[in-house]
Parts: sequence; C-alpha cells; structure tokens
Amino acid sequence: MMRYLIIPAVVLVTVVSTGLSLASYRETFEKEFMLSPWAIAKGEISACIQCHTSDSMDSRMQQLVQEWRGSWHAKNNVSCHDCHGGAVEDASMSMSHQRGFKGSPESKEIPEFCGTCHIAIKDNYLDSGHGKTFLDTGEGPSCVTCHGSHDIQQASMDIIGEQLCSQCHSYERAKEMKQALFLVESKLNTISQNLKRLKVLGIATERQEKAYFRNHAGFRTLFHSIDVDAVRAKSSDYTQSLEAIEGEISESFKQLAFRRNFSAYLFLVFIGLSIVVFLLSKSYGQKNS
Amino acid sequence: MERRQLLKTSLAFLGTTTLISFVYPASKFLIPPKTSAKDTHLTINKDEIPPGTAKEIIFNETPLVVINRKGSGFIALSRICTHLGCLVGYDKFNDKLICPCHAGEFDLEGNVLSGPATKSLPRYPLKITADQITIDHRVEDALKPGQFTAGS
Amino acid sequence: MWKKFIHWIDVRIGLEELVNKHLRQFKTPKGATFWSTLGFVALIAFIVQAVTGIMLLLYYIPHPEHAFKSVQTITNEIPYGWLFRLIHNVGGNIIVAVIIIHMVHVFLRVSYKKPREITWVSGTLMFLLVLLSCITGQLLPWHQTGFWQTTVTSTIPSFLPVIGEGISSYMRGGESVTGITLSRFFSFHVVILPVFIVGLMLIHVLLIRRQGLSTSPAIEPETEVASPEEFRREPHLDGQPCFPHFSLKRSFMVMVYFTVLFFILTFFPNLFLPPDANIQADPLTTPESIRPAWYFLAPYQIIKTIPNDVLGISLVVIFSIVLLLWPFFDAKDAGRNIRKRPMLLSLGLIVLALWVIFTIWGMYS
Repeated sequence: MMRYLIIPAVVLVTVVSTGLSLASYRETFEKEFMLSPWAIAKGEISACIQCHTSDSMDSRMQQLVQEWRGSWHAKNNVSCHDCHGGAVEDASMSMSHQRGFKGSPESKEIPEFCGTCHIAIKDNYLDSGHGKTFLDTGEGPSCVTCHGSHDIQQASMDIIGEQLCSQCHSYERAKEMKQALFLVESKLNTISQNLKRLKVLGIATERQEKAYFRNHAGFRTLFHSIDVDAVRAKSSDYTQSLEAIEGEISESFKQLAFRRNFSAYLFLVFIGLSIVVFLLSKSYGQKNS
Repeated sequence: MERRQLLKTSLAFLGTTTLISFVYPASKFLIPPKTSAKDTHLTINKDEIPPGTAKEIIFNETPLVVINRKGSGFIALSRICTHLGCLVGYDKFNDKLICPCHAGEFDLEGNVLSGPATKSLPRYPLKITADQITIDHRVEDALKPGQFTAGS
Repeated sequence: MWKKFIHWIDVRIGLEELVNKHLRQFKTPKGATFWSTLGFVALIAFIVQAVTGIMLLLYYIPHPEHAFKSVQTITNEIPYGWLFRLIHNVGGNIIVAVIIIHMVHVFLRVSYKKPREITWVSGTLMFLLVLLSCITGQLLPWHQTGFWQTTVTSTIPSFLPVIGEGISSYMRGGESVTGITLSRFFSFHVVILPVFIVGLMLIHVLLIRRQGLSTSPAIEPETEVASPEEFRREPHLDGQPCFPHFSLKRSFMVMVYFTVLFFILTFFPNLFLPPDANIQADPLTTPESIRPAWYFLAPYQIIKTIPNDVLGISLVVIFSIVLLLWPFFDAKDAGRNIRKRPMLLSLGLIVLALWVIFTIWGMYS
C-alpha cells in the first residue's frame, strides 16, 4: 500500500513546487545553459556594444546599435569591428589604431570604407555616373545614401524609388533601370524561394545556392555601374545562367514527386496486405476476440 | 475453404510484389551512380601559363584557375569561393586569390588567409609532363593531420 | 518439387518435428489478442532498423568533415538512397512508440508478476538501450539538429554532483562535441548497443517461449495460479496454435506497422527532419531553439521546470530505476486483474497522463 503512495506523493510535490516557481527557474536554467562553452558565440557581448549601449552614451549612439541589430549585417554576424576596426574583445583596445580602428569615415571616404569588403561593387560604382559625380563634386549618392549606414537591409529593387532617385535628376532614368532589372530580378527571387523550399525538403542545394549567389552578386554589381545599356546587354547572359539553375531545381521537384509516388505505392501495397492478412486471420480464429 | 484459398493466393501475390518492391531498390542502391563528370581529364599546354601568371578555365562546368606559382610549381584550384560562391580572381601582385564579393583572401595553396570563408578552396590533382599539364576531375580529398583530435 | 525440398531438409534437421512442436502445438492462451503481438512487431521494427542501418553503413562516412555530405549523397545521389534513409529515420521513431505501447499493454495486463520478472527487466533494459541508440544515432548525420541536441543531452548529466562531469566527459570524449564524440557514438550505435540489445532479446524471447505467453486475467480468470512455487508451463488447451492462428495475428500487426511507416513516408516524409537537419553542424552557431526528440520531451520538460537541477535529473533517474525493477515493487501477490486493483490502475494512468502532458508542454514551451 505504502509503496504506491510514494510515487504519487513525489509527483504531487513536484507539480506543486513547479507551479509555484515556474517563470524564474526557467530563466535560471536557460542562463545556466547559456554560460556553457557552446553558448559563448551567441551570448558574447562585444566591447563596442557594451559601451555604446550604456547610459553614459548619448541617445544617438545608442540608436546606432539598435539600428545595427535589425540589419542584414547583424544577421550575418558582421559586427562593429568588421567595418570600423578595433579590438572586439578588449575594451581598452577597442578604439586603438594599433588594432586597426578607423572611426567614422568622412563623407568622401565612404566608398573606400564600404569597399574594403564590397570590392567589386566599389569598382563599378566608382566608374559610374554616380561615383564620378561624387568623387568630383562631393555631392551625389554614396553607399549610405541608398543603403543607410547601420540599418542596412538586404538589397533589393525596392530601394530604387521616386523619392530617393529624383533628388538629383528626373525619376525617368531610374524607372528605366528598374525595368531593365526586372526580369532577371524576378528570376532571382523565384530561384531563391525554390531553393529554400528544396532545402527544407532534404534536397542537397549547396551547389545551386552557390551558383545562385554568384549570379545574384554579379548582377547586383553590374547594376552599380548605373548603365542601363550594360544591364540590358548582360541580362540575357544572366538569364541563361539562371535558367540552368531553374532546370536543376525542376529536376529536384520531379525527384521529390517520384519519391512521394513510390512511397504511396508501397503504402497501398501494405494496406492491401493488411486487409488480406486480417481476413485470413479471421478465417482461422473463431474462438478469440 | 474456397475463401481461404483465395486469400492465400492474394497473400502470395501481394507478398511477392512487396518483396520485389524492396529487392529492386536495394539492388539499385548497391551500385553507386557513375560520376556525372563529362570529362575525366583536361590537358593544357605549359607554355600557356608563364611563371607568375594564371589561367582561368572551365572544366566540367566548374570554373578553375591554374596558377604557375614562382618556386612552387603548378596548382589547379576551384574558383568558387567557399563562403557564398562568387568566383575568386588571381592577384599576381600580392600572390593571393581574392574574392570580389566580400574580400575573402586565399593563399596560393587555397587556404583561407582572411575574410568570411572558413574552408579551403578545393584542389584538383595535376599530372605534369615536359610540356603539358593534365588536370584530373576528382577533387583532392586530403584529411590534414590532427584534424580528428579534440577541439577540431 | 517443393515437397521434395522440404523432405531433404527434414531428413537432416527434423524440420517436421520442430514445426509441430514449436509452432503448431505451441499454444497461445485464449486471451492472446492483437495487442499481444506488439512485442513481435517491436522485433520486426528492430530488424528493419538493422537492415536499413547496414545499407546506410555502405555509404556513410563517420568523420565530421564527411558525415553530412555522405548522408546528403545517400539521400540525393544513390538510387533509392532516400528510401532507406527515410525508413531508418522514421522507423527509429516508430520503434520507440511501439515499445511504449507494448510496455503499457504488459503493465495493464500485470504480466510482469512472478515468474515473469526477468522478462520485464530485460524488456525495460532493451527499451533504455533503444533510447540510447536513438541518442547516438541522431549525432551521426552531423547536422545542426543532431549536434546541438547531443550537446544538450551530454551536458545534462554534468549537473549531478561529483559524478556528473565525469559522465558528461565520458559521453563526449572531451569538453565539447567533436569528432571523437562522433566516433564513439558511431561505434556504440552500430556495434555495441545492437549486440547488447540482441543479447537481451534472446533472453526475453527464450523466456516467453519457455514460460508461454501470459494470459489475460479478464478473459481467463481461473487459470491464474496465485504464486507458482515451481516451474510450470501452461498448456492452454483451449487456446490457439501459434501457427497459423497467432502468427497471422502477428503478421497483421506487422503489416499495420509497415502501413503506418509508409503513410508517414508518403505524406510527412520530413516529420522527423526539422529544417536544421539540412544544415551542417556548426559549433559556432547555436540555433534559435534546441529541442530534444519527442520521446525525450517529457523528461526534458520535467528537468526544465523543477527548480533544482539535481532534483530534476535524480527524479528522472529514480523513475527509470523504479520502472526497471517494477516487478519487485509490486511483488505481493495481489492478483493480476487490474480491474480489481484500482490503486495500480490509477497509478499507471496517472504516470501515463503526466508523461503525455509533459510531452505536449515540452513541444510548445
């Protein structure tokens, strides 16, 4: 008798104490896990962010960090020191020139600043009408004009807009460019979505993902030359490359359909077998339930 | 009894079908598919690549770069950057391979020097004769020593 | 032609006598319903795992640099590789469900009482080893899901005082999950655990054949001897022959198992392959939420919600030990009909209900 009561008693105590202490202990548990070695990558607070989010900073500085947090850079683990230099792990060296600290770039230094990583785009931009105007006069669009400085989002055709582009010239030119980009951009979007779907369904998409990115990056780089004719001329090459990827994608969808059909066939065969065996079993056993 | 016989026959039939439906895929499974590479080798002339220069070629739809490194001989590497897939280019002034998308840098062995990539560029085996270079389509799969210890 | 072949074998091994004694004359009791066949279904499920596992073994490479790619190659390039990989993946989950239902059935039939204690203990041990096979198996494809689930699972013992760190270190072969962990999980999954499981299976099946299947106290109340003092095998004179009657029941349940397997494969092939299972393991990137497999959600949720980690883990360990040795906890002969034992019935139902509740809670928390 007593031995049966032990287990329900333990269970009851557990449930009651659980109910009484739910929220805070879940936090403790998660925090303990977060402190374990593997979680350092996620929980690491950089020296830059630690200062720039503290209350001793003015609100503008704190705002910058917030903007960065929602950016495409942040999602891809590109942090303060990747652009501005300095030591990320050591607050005393976080703004040291010895550790490559660059500070905020002056307006005319912006293309070189962003071009430290985005080399090909910088080259095309400097050759373009936009780049030449900017270098000669100090006016005109630089990288941050269209992309922002900390709140950088994934680039898309939507950046080209009337309000932005008609600041210096008529929107007509920008509209023409947008139209020239349209076909290849739509293909790129469709491919990107399909590759995401295929990946979740178990297809090995690494090769196609790389080919897609290669084309995507090349096309975007080309756009920065702001040369509608060049874009139109190259569009057919890109379309061809992308069609090759689309071909492989549709092969993959066909393979998935084959897998479903074959599994469905086996499913039906076993339903048939289940029925036959059941009837056979019934025809033998009369005595049992 | 007739019913039982009918059921037994159906069972035999369905059972055989099921058996074949597993044996057939299993037997196909045992034979790995032939490589889809169209060509197994590509031969180019040595004199197409003077020392200190590189030649970009396409082999089985993969862009490669064959570099004639001063002092270390020829090497054939895939141009597909191991970060996101852009094509790296040979920088002869700095003896590096540079990716134009995010400034990834690789040395002339294909190892990552800096930038967002983490894996080395795939390397293709070469056979070098007096005046020709033959590239094999099978990527070198070298496991570096110490790769299997704790912390790797 | 067929008869000639059978005769040839019979002259050499006495096939006729074997079939008569062990299949036709071996009687199963009246109460041997379709539920009683679940043990056999578990055996078939294990064989399916072993066969598909061996096929995967032909192409799998147990090294961190190659494991993920080799599994992708099997799934996408080897002809019908997807079929055997998915059967192994889905089957690995179904076998756990089958074993759980089998154990619940045995519990509700109170079949673990004397003289069947060893059968229960060997069965529960097998269950624990199967769960260990699941844990070791999920690291092998070296994807984000498996890698991080293993990281969490191998860290849980470290909360225990004194021996905890040692256990975790032993499991992983180091401070964190690396190629060494993969190697040892591979050898456990492919050789060590199957050998022990097969050994336990032999004991389990030998005992069942020797003692006979247990009766259903609801259907045959008069046959249950209170506490046998000597070995006795019930003749079950008005039972059914094992072959073909009970064998057909077993075959039917096996067909149901395959039907369920292929139902899942057709309509929900990625049911047990979350999106992170398609991304190679990256020790530097922790996924948004790390959740264990469905059969571990209950213990995981229990450990998460109990304030004291040591208490939580100890509770789960104590529960497992009590489950393992249950026949000795319920040794007093209070009868095998669970309908006449409301305490036992409610205990069983409460534990089951709590398990279900914690599992669902774990799924959504």
